Amino acid sequence: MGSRDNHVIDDQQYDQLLLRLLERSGQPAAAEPPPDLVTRTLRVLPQELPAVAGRAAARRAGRRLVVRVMLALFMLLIALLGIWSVLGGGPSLALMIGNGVSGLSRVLLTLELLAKPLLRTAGVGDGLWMLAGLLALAGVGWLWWRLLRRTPVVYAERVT
Amino acid sequence: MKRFILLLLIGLCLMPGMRIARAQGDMLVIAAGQHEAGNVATVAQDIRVDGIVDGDVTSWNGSITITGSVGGDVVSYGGDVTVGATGRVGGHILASAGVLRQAEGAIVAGQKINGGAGEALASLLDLLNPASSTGPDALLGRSLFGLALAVLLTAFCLLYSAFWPGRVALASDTLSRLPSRALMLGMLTTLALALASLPLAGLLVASVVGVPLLLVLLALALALYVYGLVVLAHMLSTRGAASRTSGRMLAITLAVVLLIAVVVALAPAWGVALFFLLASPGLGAVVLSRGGMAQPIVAR
Repeated sequence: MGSRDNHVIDDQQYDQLLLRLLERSGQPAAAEPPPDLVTRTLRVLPQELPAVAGRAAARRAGRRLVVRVMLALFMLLIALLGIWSVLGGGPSLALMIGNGVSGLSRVLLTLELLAKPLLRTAGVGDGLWMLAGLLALAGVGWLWWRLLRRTPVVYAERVT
Repeated sequence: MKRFILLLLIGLCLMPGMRIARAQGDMLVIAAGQHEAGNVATVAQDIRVDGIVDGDVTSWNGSITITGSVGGDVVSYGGDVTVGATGRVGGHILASAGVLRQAEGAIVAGQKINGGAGEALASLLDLLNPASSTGPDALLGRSLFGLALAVLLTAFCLLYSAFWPGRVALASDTLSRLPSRALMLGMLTTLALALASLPLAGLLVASVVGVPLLLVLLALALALYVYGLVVLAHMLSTRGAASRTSGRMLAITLAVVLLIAVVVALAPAWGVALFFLLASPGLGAVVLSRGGMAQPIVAR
């Protein structure tokens, strides 16, 4: 009685066996490589060395990151200035870039003024309503989360 | 616990009501000789300033008349702004949809803006809380609004059913199995959105760069409520029937949408409130079923 291990052949034996079988059916058909294969391959490869190319790619990624961070900081600055001018009586963003009569300055001034009723209504009653609203929001959020946590779910495998 | 939740919900529901009642009374007057150190703000109430206001004077849909002195800006989305001959405004004036009048001798230090970017918002406000609600033109405008709303709602409901039938079915099943929990979660979501929307919208508009984000958030919130409405219609179409047919689903969707449209044509503000109210249980079921992708486990 033999063991299952008796049927195991190693990779080398298997390769030889496969090649013998392929040879019997006339495969793989041997084909001559094109004469300019090396030249063509070299032509499509980048001229610079991989290490140099890697450094250049890292520099480009760094520059992209700096641009993105600068853009994000610029937008954050605009947002903070806008909110400060409406809420805290800071310098008007619109009047920093013009006199509010035309162009972008006019658009920004209109936006600043449009935000005022929204925020002033929220802050009516010396901020007491705002405080009550925030407390209520916190309470509602807590209840919402509690209800959701108390309902365990089983995810369906595929839902369209 | 349940009693506490109920009390909190009742209290929160009454709070905005008190505020609206306060704002919809007679004209708010800052009398001559009276000095208001902060800001003055109303929603639908007219304002008259004969005294002195150090801050801003703002109203959503009320008219503002200045014969005294205002240190800050004067803004009304939907109402007229009038500065009398003795009026002094230290900041800018914006009358989005109303008329801006300045008498001879009146002093306005800043810019005067009439119309502009806020006109669409002012028109929407006027539609929901019209200055004159009688007359054939007003009725025609409200009817057209209701019709447009009905067409849009039906189209979006059908799109949801066509593209996400499985999700809608799962959320609908959640609504029929856990109706009270879905209702409470939906109402809490609506309440949280109502509480947060005003200051959040203000901050995003004030930040200038947040305006596109505000538009995206508004669209997202409306899409969620329409999803909730579809889930409600689906649940009603399966209730009491052996099997759901698409004809029954379509009929119920149309009935719900028409109900909302009719109420919108009669009283726009109530119609919009009805839409959010009807969609809330469905929205709660959508939240419970994690967007219609999971089945809640019901404890027995």
